[in-house]
Amino acid sequence: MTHNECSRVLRARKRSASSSGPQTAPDDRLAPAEHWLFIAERDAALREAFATLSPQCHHLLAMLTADPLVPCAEVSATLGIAVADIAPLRRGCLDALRRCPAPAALISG
Amino acid sequence: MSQQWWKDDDQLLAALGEALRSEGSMPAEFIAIGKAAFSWRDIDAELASLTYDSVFEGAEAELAGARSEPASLRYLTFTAGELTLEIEVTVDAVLGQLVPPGTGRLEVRTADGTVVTAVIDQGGGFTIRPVPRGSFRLYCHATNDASLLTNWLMLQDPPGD
Repeated sequence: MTHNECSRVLRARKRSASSSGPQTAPDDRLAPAEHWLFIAERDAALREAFATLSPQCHHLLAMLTADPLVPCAEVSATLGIAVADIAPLRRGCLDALRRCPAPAALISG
Repeated sequence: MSQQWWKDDDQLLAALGEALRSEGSMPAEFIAIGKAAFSWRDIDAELASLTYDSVFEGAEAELAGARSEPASLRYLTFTAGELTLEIEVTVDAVLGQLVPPGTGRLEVRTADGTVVTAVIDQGGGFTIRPVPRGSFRLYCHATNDASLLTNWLMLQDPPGD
């Protein structure tokens, strides 16, 4: 159950990593230049927001976004958190990211 | 404009990964963490769960754990198998108690690879002075060979801030 939850997280990662363009594209209707600009702005905003997160979130998100994928067991062992806690902690860190003003302004703007 | 990437956890994580990679270089902190993590691979200690944290007594229990706290009085309890490690953070030191009591060695391992050792006395007590700065984890090795490793903690901002 716990293991499955973690595997699900990784599978989802793999899916979006293998098709990162369409999955994370802001809008297919944007012209290439606008698209590029949006991505650049989004990247900067996400990095700015990421910098404000706690060290715990830095470590966890850095490992979860690592390329190649890091197995859950290794995330657990390296960070000293139970495999079962990875998914809820990930959710908490991403929610914290969403509360940061930089990307939030990009979304509402 | 579609905001799906922002609402969906998997897509937000993917976007974050792209953002971090597109910066070109890995922040030095991660490299240090990676190196510190590797040095743990040969340590056969049981990972301890945080079973009590006085910070969690507050209203924002879930979020409190993911935030660094200023140096204020704080109590934490870690449990791994038969071993329990209780720590109390004071203004100038971290006071610890191993349960069941017994002698041993305690290591404070910081993210930059520094290791500070403290002696665990017969009563299971130890003192870490001053309070470690930045991220660290505690490795506790009792004389009876039981050992425990905590997750990363941050009680004070890293040096230089």
